Amino acid sequence: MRTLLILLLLPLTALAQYGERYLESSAWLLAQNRATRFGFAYNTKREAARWDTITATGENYRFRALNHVWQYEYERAAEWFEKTTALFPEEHGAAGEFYLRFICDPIRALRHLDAFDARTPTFDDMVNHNPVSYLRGLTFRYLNDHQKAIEQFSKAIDPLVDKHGAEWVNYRHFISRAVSYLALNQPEKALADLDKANKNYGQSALVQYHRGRVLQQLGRVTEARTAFQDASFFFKAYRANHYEGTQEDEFNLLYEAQIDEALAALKKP
Amino acid sequence: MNTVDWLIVLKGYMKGKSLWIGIFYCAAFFMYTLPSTAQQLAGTWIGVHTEWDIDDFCPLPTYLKLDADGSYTLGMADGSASPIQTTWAVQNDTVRLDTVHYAPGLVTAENGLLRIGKLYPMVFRQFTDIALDSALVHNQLVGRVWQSDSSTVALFADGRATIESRRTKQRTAHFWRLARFGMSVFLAIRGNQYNRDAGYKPLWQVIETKPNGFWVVGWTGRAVGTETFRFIRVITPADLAEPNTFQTCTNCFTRAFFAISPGRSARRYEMLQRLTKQEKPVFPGQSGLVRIAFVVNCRGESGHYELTGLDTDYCPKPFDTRVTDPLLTFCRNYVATDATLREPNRPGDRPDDVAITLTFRLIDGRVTDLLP
Repeated sequence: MRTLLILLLLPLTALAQYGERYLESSAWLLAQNRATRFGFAYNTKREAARWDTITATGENYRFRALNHVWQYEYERAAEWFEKTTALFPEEHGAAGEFYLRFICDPIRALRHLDAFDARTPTFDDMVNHNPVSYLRGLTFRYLNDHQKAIEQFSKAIDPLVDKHGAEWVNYRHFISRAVSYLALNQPEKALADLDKANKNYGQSALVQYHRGRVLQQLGRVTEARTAFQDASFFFKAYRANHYEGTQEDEFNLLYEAQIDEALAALKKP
Repeated sequence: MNTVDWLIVLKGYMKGKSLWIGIFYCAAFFMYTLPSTAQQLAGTWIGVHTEWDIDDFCPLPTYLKLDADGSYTLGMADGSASPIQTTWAVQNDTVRLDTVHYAPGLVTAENGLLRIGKLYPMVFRQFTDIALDSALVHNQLVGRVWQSDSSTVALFADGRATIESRRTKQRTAHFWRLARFGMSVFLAIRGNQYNRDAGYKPLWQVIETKPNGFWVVGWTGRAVGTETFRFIRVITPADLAEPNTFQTCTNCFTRAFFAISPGRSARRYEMLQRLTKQEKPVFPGQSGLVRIAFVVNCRGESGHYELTGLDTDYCPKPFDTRVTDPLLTFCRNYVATDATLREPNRPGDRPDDVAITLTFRLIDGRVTDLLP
């Protein structure tokens, strides 16, 4: 009898704390359920079904495709991106960007970006926050065709510089072109772009990291070291204010290990 | 004037009379005057599950008591927490539970089931109290193996339990106890192979026990109904209260809610460096995507590995095992063993289970990228 009592009562003591937490979370969920729409979980089948019930627009189809990206169902995401652009050709730009950003597929990205660009051949249309030429430049860069990448980056940057001045150019665009200049062993041009980028945003780890690389290539080792050290400082400052894995620029990735490796390489004789 | 206001008036009127007569009159009066929605909602409801996704249900071990006098109780059916007691009301089809107001249609009672919300619907069933002697039920159930149409349940004397699917033969380990609710007895199975704190399995209300079987009401895996458990045999020392398969720590494992991806984190950089630094053999034509999904439980055991191959046009494609085996080994030996993956969000919390999906882009058998 005593054993039975211990068996029945002991778990109750152990359960109490967990039970309180469980009850608290149930009460929280009851409160959340007052909402008819609260989309924090974009990667669910319910969310996919919800998109199916919404009016068919380009944007809704695009989000339907993204739902599959977030569920890692790339085959279905691709199917939906194709379906989206067939029905809503204005979505070619977004589809191109997402193929590059999420699926690392430069071939399909380029096909969609070209189709988007062809809709208005004399005008450099915007895709979200970037001109389509800039995204095409990124795609060529991904394919290691830096000459074509520079052509496209320049198409995005130069008219804006001529019309409004270099201070109106997104500093990330200068970085992208500089990376390609560096790949083609043109460090002076790369440095000029990075100086302009630095003027537009002076607290960028990305700018300093690539400046370090350029200066290293130019043999200016002391300045390169300072640039890498600045990069390390700005990287830590950025990380302190952002979630793990958030990048300053999703198209110009930078990891702390790369900065450390660059600094370590400079110390070698 | 809502029901709570009426209650206050009536309480004054009934002052000095017998408490029990008062309660009877109050209940009768309010059942008569309650709006139709309130009449449908009034009663005791036992949690069935929360519908996290279209095909993912998580057992709900709570109960809701909505009294006709406007008092509201939210508690754990197994008595593992002090219940929350407050009020509820219905006004113009808007339901208020505690301080939460639900628009018309968000709280419905139909066919003995109460559904709350549309975002993550919580489903409760109408409770009917069935008086049973818990000691007697315990004596009949303990130390025996029982079988329903879908599962085999072993209830060990030390409080451990195993559930084995009759279809897949996969066995998971938990803890069990009987809990009293009203005059009824519930069979509460919860926890995992390690401890009791890992969520619940469906809560079953015992409705009858006999030497050759016992009957419960609750979620049967398909619907709310009655499940029969036939007596199979007495547990022997050879029976192990252990899983025979990979088991997640939580009983409510849902890939979407436990998913983590490399994103564009430092971890992704490390993985890519490891995969691309060394020269790898070329396998012409082995291009496209290889997706490996797996689960790491809170103790670092991994399982549920799934591999999918897609060609460059995103059509299914079987890849050469000389290409996929090293990737599987990489996932098992390098990624799954990384303890930082399971780190809880809040310091002091226990590590979580995680669902990991890694998708590799390959050209001629060589990894060229890891999708974020």
